[in-house]
Amino acid sequence: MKKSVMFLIGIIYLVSIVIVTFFGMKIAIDQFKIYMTSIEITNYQRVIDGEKYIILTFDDVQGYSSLFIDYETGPDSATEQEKISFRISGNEFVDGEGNRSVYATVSQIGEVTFTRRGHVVVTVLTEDGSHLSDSVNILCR
Amino acid sequence: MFCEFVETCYNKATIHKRRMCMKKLCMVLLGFAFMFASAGLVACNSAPASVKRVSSDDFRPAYYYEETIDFDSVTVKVELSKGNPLILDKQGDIDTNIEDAAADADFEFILKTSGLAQALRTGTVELGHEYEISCLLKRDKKEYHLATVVFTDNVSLAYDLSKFDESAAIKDFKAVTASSVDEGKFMSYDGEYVIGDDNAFKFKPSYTLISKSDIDDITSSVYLPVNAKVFAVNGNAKGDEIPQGTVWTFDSLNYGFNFAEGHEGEKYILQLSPKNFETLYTGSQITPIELKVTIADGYNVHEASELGHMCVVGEDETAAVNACAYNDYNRFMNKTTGQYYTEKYYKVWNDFYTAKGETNLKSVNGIFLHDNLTITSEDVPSEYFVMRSESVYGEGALRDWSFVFPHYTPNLSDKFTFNGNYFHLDFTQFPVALNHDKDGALVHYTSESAIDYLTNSVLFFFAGQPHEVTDAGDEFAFVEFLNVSAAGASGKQITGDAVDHAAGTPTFLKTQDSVEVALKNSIVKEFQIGLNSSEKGDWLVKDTKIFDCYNCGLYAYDGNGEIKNSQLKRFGGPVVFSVSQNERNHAPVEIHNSFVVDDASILENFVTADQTWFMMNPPAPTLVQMFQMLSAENNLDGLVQTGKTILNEAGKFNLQVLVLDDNYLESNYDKLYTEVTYPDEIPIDYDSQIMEFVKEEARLVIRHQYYESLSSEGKAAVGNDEANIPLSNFPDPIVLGDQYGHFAICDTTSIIAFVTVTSFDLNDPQYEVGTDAVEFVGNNLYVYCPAPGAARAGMIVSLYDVVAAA
Repeated sequence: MKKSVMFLIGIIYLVSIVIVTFFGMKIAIDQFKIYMTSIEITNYQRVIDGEKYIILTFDDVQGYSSLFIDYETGPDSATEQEKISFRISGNEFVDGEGNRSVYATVSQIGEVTFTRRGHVVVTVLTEDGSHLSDSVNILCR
Repeated sequence: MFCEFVETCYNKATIHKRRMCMKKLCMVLLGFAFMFASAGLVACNSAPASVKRVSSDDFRPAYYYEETIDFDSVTVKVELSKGNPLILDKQGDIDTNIEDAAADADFEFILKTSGLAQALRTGTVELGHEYEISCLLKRDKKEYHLATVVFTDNVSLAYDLSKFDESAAIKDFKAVTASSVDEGKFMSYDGEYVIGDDNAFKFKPSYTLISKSDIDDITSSVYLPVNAKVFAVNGNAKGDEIPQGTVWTFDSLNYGFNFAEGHEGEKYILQLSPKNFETLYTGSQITPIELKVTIADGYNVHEASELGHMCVVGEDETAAVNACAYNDYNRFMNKTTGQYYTEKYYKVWNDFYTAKGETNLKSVNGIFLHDNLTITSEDVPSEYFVMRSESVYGEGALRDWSFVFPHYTPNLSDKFTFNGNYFHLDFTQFPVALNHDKDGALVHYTSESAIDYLTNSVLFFFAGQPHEVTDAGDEFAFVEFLNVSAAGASGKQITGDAVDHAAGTPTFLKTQDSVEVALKNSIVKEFQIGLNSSEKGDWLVKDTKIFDCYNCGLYAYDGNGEIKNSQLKRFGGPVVFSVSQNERNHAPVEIHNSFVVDDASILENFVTADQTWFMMNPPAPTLVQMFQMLSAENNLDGLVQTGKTILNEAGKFNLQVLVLDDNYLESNYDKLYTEVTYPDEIPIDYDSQIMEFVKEEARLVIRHQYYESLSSEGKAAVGNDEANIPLSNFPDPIVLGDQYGHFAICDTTSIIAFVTVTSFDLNDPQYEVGTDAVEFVGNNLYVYCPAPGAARAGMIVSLYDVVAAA
């Protein structure tokens, strides 16, 4: 009898884990959600033809260079200010035979790393449903 | 010989002679010694060596034409016949002669540029011309050649290319994703990019050039020459290259592709690659940018100031255009005389572009957007806005009743397409109309904050001919708006000071006088009204989202419409404001408004009767009364059984349709002419004898459908015998014989009951009071209301499904 009770408790425990994992415990609060209304990259150095630029010097000794994208969101009362993502484009090197390789990456915390000189565009996006974004050109010379 | 001479003198001469001889000898020796010493001294005193070669490292053989040469910092290296070379950096005036230099001028050389220095100063450098650069040395007054210099359009001479990519606009277009859930996204996206053939489509790439000589010189403003190609499309693949000439030409300076007329509907792939660059700064191969396009008849708009090209009229068409600013509100003021005057809109727009130097203006049949645009007052003729001399309060405000972007479709065969290519029109910075009063012919802007008026101004306005003039049966001009997103200035939160701003926000799109309109796959939000279709012409709203308009989503006045797979949410008034014509204006009455809502559409509009829109409208008191009555009986037995309520949890109605005649509540006419069909529900026609009943009872009446009695032939039916009521059922009775319909009966303060009504009941209104409630079937309540006086109002309130919401 005891064994069956213990077995039952074990089953319930496992099922609970699965249920919580699948559905979560967070109460939906969409009806009270405050969306972000602005996002702006702040550590750009200049604006060229309407586009933001950061100029970075490649470190030949280390063999790479990196920097962080600084940005600000608003308003402060936005419910999900942490819901931010980064995208990078122009970060592929294409050799004479058409072979491609990535020479710059951006992490999910906004760190951009170059492994060779180049020019990429990094975009920071809100992911709380407000669909806002801002972009910056990063030129590594 | 010298020894023989000395020996002869010694042997043959006397002592005296010997002495004399010795003296001469000494003199000769001294002379030789002096000569050798002098020669030695002269030799040691560094006599000038000859110039072997003069050169400078400060010149390249070729330059990009936007570069300049810093002649002032040129240094010259002089190699001599012996000794170390000289580096000279003290130069006199460029292109002068030594003789012309000041006597005490301290210089070492003069540069001779064969006119290049002057040409660079004046911007007159001749591309391809070989300019000779030489150096005139002061030391020997001789001229030595330094370099031959050519200027070309090869930007790679001066710059490396660090980025070559599509423009941000094209990237935006290609990144569009569709969603029926996300309000910010289009309902659908087919990836088709349409360009017009009336002017060039500018396919400007996004690029960055970095100077080879100046590490800080990073620019996108230096012109980058490109190679342009056009390919045919075979299925989804790139076909043969189409040579430049007959089908297309290229404006290289503007990256503009011009397509000849006669290729509408054809698809091509446009390709650009940079000239003179094979690799990027990184050494990476450059990938050409490409865009697949479809050709159409119309005008390409890349900037907000170009939108008005939809308004211009060619000289040969002006006679057909009549719409103008003519009334007290929208007439323009002459800036010189201060007098108001009547003017046709096209004339103002033609003048606007003529003043910008544009000639040969022509009417267009379409607009194609190629970027996200923010429209401001700078993009519109100044006549549209109130001047300070007219009103201090109103300065800069949009004139009321003005049509900002009007287009005329005087011919019934006229068609106009506005294709946004999934771009966005931002009118949030565009001026709004302010509250004003009339005093005779003048408009007075009384204050910036008073709230008692809704503007009648329109942004995109299409006018045809009055239908009775055209006498053309069912034929209409046709206007199509598609794949465009637009936002006005009303804002979402319409409270406090924002109210006045919102009330002055123009309507987005209006058609009038025999114009059919289709609004497809678009997002329209925060205007006065999303779409206003007036005075003949059917309308279609398909795959479209209309949100947060201050007045209503759709304003229908004398036409038939369809709402297909669309979402219309959150308005100050109803979703659809249906205004029918009355006998006074259009006798005999044979037509009325009607529209159909399909199953995929969502009409969601929770309002309270104390919102500012209700306060600013003529029917407000009646409407407020209607809402009060409805809200007082939110949980009637008949509704409880269905799990539905009239109010939602926040105490708001889902107001779908408001039905009035075109004189609003001041009319003395009995009937309203609107027929609405919801999915799975029989159409309800406000044009029915029940209006007589309402009139007699002078109380609120609510009618709902009997779902199970859907009629064949799509006509209204009541009763379990599925008897049809003609589409226009006047003067037929609402129910016949022993048939019955379902109604909610109200007195002046509350709903008494949902009842079954027979024809007998209609003749004996007292009969229904206290009748047993019946089970309610359907999603909407149709409310009829007698207004104070003798007019009628009707509205449709969608029920709130408590069960589904939970």
